[in-house]
Amino acid sequence: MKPGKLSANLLLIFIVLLSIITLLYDLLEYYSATRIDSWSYINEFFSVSALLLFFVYLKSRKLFSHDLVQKNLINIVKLLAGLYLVVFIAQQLLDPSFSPAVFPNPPETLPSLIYANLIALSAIIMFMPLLLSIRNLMYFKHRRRTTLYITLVLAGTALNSLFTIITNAPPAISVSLDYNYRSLSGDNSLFFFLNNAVYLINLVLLFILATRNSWVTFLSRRDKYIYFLLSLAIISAIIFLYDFVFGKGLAYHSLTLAVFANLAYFFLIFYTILASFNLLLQLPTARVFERKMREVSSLHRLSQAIAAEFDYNKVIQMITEMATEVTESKFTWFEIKDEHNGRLSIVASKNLTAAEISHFNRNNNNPVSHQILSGKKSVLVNHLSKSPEYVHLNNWKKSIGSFLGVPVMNSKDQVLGILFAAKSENFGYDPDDVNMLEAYANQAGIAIENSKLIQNSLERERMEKELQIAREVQMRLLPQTIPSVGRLEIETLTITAYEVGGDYYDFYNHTGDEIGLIIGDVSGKGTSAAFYMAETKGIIQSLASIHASPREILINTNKILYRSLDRKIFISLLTARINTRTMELTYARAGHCPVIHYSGSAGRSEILQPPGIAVGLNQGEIFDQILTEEVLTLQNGDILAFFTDGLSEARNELGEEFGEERLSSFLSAHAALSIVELKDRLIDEILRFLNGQNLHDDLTLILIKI
Amino acid sequence: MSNFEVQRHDFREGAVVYLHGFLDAHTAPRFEEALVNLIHENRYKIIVNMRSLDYISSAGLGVFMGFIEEIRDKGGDIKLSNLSTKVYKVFDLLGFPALYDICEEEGQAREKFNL
Repeated sequence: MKPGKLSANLLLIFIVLLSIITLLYDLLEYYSATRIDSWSYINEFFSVSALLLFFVYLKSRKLFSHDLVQKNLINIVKLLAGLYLVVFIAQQLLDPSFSPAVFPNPPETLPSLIYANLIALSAIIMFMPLLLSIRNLMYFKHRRRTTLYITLVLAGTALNSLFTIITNAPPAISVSLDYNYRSLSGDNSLFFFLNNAVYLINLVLLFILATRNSWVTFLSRRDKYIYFLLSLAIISAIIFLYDFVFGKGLAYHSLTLAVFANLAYFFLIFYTILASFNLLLQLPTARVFERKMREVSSLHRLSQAIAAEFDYNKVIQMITEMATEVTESKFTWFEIKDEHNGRLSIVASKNLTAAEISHFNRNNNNPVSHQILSGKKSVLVNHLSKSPEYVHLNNWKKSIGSFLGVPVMNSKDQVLGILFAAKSENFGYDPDDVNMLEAYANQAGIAIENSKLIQNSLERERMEKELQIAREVQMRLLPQTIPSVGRLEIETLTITAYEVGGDYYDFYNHTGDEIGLIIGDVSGKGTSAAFYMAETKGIIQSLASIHASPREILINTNKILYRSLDRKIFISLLTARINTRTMELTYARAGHCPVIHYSGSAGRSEILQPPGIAVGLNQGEIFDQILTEEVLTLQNGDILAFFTDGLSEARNELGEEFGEERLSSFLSAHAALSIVELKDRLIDEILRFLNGQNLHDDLTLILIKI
Repeated sequence: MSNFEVQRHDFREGAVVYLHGFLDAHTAPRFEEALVNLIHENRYKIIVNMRSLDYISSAGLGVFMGFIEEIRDKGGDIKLSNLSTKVYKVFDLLGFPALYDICEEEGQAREKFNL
């Protein structure tokens, strides 16, 4: 047994013990006529203790929930029924009679004495939880001063008890008028007056407290009916209990309990009557209230559901399905406006067949929709067969009797689409339904907009990811090391722009004194450029092992690539072979940027641009015919620069291009530098030229010093 | 930056398309749309006047390639005219002069088309 339960049980044992002691004394007094002086005070003390202990017991068991109205109401009904039953059975069995001569009225028979004790016990056991339940109901909605009034009433009850004990007479208004105040002595008249005054104040406060019944409003319509009828039964039951409180047993047993029961009784009757009255008043508006509640809860559910759903199509479907519940309609459908051509089409529906949807979307000439679209106002048609202007809807779907269409707008007041609800019967909607669906549509508009935003940002994220993959592929396709061939000094530079370009370079067939190199640029950007680049690399690497001539390599590359390339895509390529033994550069250019050759002996640079068209532009005959292979004799100290248009077309803020000339004269001016220094100096030069502007394309550069 | 405009002037079974500004990956779809419209209208004799074209990127060049086969199959052609030195350089670099008829003036192109 848990300690809490143990002490709770101890409390119960204590209460029973106290009741037994008072019963024993009553018996003793009844049979022996002995009286213990001031016993009545001890008796009162016991009764009050029992009452308070029971209160503590109830508190410790936490039997009553605060927020569940129904549970509290059922408790009240049960307790009242129990009390009613106990009092009724006790009266039938014990047939109590009390002498009316003195106050408190002594019992005339032994059963009456037992009856008095029993009633006192039930007053403790039943009234206390009853009042606690009502207190919970009162706190359904916290209002100022409720707690203050309760405290005042409790204090007042204590005062009433005290005064009643002192005067040994009840407040005049609390008892049957036939009671005589014979025993009242002159000294007590002040207390008697005070007792009545406090009693009156108590009644007023109890009445005020009895108005705290706002829980009534939030009951469902059905419950309102049930509790109203129940409240009538309860009132009758309470009226029957009049005897229990005003009859003579309780006062004889304990004045305190009598006062407590008396006040509790009044409170109970006030509270029940006022609640009953409030229930009655709210019955006519119950339907409207329930509707509003449903509206709020459906909007709440919508926003909840939508918060968990990012998929645009699912959001639309959800909105359409929930609209059926909101308006209690048979059919709902959602026409969405196409952002580009403004056409409306059904994208989601409830209880429409696929054939109906496609028929509607095909014809796409619904004047109602256009009316709503242009007017941005709802349309309600309650008797479709009598509204000739909308008769086409009946041709479309026979079973529509009445329908309602509301525009769904975004935050910029643009119509996103139209939500339709329809019923088979005529006059299915009232103005309240229009308001409700409009409120719902507002919420839906926000939800749709949100899902679009989320989808856009997901899309963007996906594209960024794709871009990153493309960039990784591109980087992996480029040579990871620079081959060393004879005395050749080789340096490469790759600067990537934000968008992945199609720049590509590679080395092939490098032996002790010969090296092949290829540089190119795939038109287009992103993943597709990276993909074509990979294809190109594969083709060239395999062709390079068969063909020695740069021209042959390009011709065969074009033959193979032309078949697989998208017609809008082409690849500029330049292949070159440098032999350090023969000191020859053999090269062919298929639409790529020229080669810049700095001749150490001449002290100047030359731009070499032999004829050739880009790969992918022509099937072969023109390509092969035009492509020219050239051979250039090199000398020590010569510099070769291969590059892509990312370098030559790099633009500064004035829109000027870096250009081949600038590169050419740069080489002439700094030819004496080592290749590494030359590259660093060139990077500085490019950055100075750009002056903070971004590159709009990838930039690739290969510098070779002989 | 993407200042780009397409205008057209129709002649019987042909048309002159005037390009202005920057033709790059972002503006290419608009040029493409203009060509698609011409093909829909069965105008296959197309002259692209580039008098006020400031820049053309590879994506812009791709547009020509995307339609040339179809147009030539239908007995038409795309002729280019009034290229600025800078724009001509781009065409030349890629070898376009071997594939397209590039005229100095729009008039010459129209004469060749009999427009």
